[in-house]
Amino acid sequence: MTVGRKIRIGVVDDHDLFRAGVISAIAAAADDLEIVGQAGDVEGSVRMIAETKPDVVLLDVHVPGGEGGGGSEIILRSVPYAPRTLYLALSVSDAPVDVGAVIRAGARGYVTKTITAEDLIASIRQVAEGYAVFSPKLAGFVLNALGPAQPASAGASAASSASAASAVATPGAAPDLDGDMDDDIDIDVLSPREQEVMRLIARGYSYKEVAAELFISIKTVETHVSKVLRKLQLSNRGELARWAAHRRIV
Amino acid sequence: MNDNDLRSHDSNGSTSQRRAKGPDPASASYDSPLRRTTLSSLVDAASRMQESQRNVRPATVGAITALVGVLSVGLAVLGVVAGLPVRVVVGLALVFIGVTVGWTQMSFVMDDRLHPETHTSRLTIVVMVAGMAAAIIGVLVMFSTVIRLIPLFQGAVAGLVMIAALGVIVAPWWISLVSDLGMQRARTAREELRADIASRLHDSVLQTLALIQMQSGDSAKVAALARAQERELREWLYGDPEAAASSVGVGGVGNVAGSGGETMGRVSADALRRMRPPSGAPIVGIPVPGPSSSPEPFSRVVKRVAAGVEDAQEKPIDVVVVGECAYTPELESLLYAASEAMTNAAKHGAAPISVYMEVGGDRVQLFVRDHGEGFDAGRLPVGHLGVKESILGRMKRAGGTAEIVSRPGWGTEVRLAQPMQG
Repeated sequence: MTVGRKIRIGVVDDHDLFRAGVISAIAAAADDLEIVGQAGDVEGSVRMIAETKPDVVLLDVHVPGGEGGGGSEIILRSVPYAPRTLYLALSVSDAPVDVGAVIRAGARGYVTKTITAEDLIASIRQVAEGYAVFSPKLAGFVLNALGPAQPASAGASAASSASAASAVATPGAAPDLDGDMDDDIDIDVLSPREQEVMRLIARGYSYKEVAAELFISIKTVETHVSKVLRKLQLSNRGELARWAAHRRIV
Repeated sequence: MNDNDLRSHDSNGSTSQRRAKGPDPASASYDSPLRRTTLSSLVDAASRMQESQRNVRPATVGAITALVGVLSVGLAVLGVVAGLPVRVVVGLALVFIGVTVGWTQMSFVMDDRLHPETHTSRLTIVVMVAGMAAAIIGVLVMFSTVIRLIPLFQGAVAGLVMIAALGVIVAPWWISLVSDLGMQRARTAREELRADIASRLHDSVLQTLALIQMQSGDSAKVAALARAQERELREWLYGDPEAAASSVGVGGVGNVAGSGGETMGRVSADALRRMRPPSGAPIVGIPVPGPSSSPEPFSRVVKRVAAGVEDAQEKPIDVVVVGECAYTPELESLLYAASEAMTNAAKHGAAPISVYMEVGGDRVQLFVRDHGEGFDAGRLPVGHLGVKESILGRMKRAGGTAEIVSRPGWGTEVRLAQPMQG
């Protein structure tokens, strides 16, 4: 898909040292990745993204400037200028508020800054190919927000009955036309298959290992993951809505 | 009014929690009805919250009216008995009523400072004006015994003009006083917050940095220290406040004792092993859940055990939790098995090590995955046999299930499940 073409990367982080570290790590490790821009605040980032239109932006969640919205504000403000740019959030924080905010704003994945250079580059490639990047933490976050294992036991039974309902509903809809229709039907609940995928990712499985475990192809895993990401972005489920409201995203 | 009460208490909750300092004399001494800034009302909200728990009920309008009435009648009777002229007595009584009404306003104003709309409500203004009028009439009545009517009114007008002039003269000073007060409050609140953060950083990050400098030769040790500190700071910044609060309390002691970056609140894997009798029988009351008597969330216990293993083995372990349940004795075996599996993963496996815990319906599942070499389950290496027994046997005895999956080149996963009652 990206053969013969370099992946153009923008780096947004207000820590100069960290930014420099990421850039040198990427430059040293991979030939097909090219850093086209960097910035340290909201205004600078929006300008950089608008000018260079990178394929992937590595985005820190807490960036000064603008209206204080940080990474999510950058995404929302940059979309009109660079609609094809994809975002991978990279942050020290794994607070649900931060994760929820950037994902809702449209980031394609979320990794913490303790990630190894190798994994980071793999994640960048994944995002560039149009797939979502789910760390175990993010998968756990999704299962908490959309999955059947709600903290309250009443919620658990309600949600599992809902997911059972969706299991009935999904085959009802033609599987090949599942795109939007499917999402409309059960936007707040993961399908059983998606739950399985999320659970395995939360257990520390790589996409490849998930595919082997479930006897499906990696592409199918990636499709499931991308669908889950969409649900996460569109869902109105209480907690998500609260995070979004907290950051004034909706 | 009720609605207001609810709202203010709601917002108080977070403020007082963040400050978590108990009653605060500083903010109480700034408790003045002069002006409200957002910050000062937040500060007031916190102190008010604390006071409200003392169950002091503000006096009702009726009680105050009755008290003032009785007092003024008493005063009048006293005056008549003392043989003062009637007009003086009536005048005194009126002045007394006016002044007391004015001052009792203060109690309502202070009490309702969070509700500006009642502070400046029509009733308040009417009562205030009535009080002033009563006092002025009282003074006039009193002096009408010695001064004739027309000069009296002229004098009264002169007096009012003088008061107005004085008010205008004093105004700048008054305004600066008020704004100073607001700034003062803001500064106090900032100072407190800063002191709170400083003490936190001092107890944790600075200590760890010092330790790291001392041990800069040992990169594994440095990485472990950094990791432990990161985890603690993260817990404080983003984690559940209760866990962080308890780790502050215990951690402080640990640091004084010179044990450095590790907080004593954690149960290390070694400690766990030491406490386990050789028979493997269940023990009551291991991971001591701190001073609170209510059951601790199981996720927190698991995280603490993982942190202990992480510190002991100096390998990072990621814990992901879905769902939650209270830590009960029936989960003890699960916890031990998990701790054993984590230690094992850290010792023999390779990063990334992932721990996944899920509470769903009627059971708790726990997965420990590493990405090491793995091994052939048929030909267990010597070191693994005991582990197998301690994990599989323990879970079986506790009525749960355990499975060890390992493939060469894939790593190892220990899958544990424990049914829960109810």
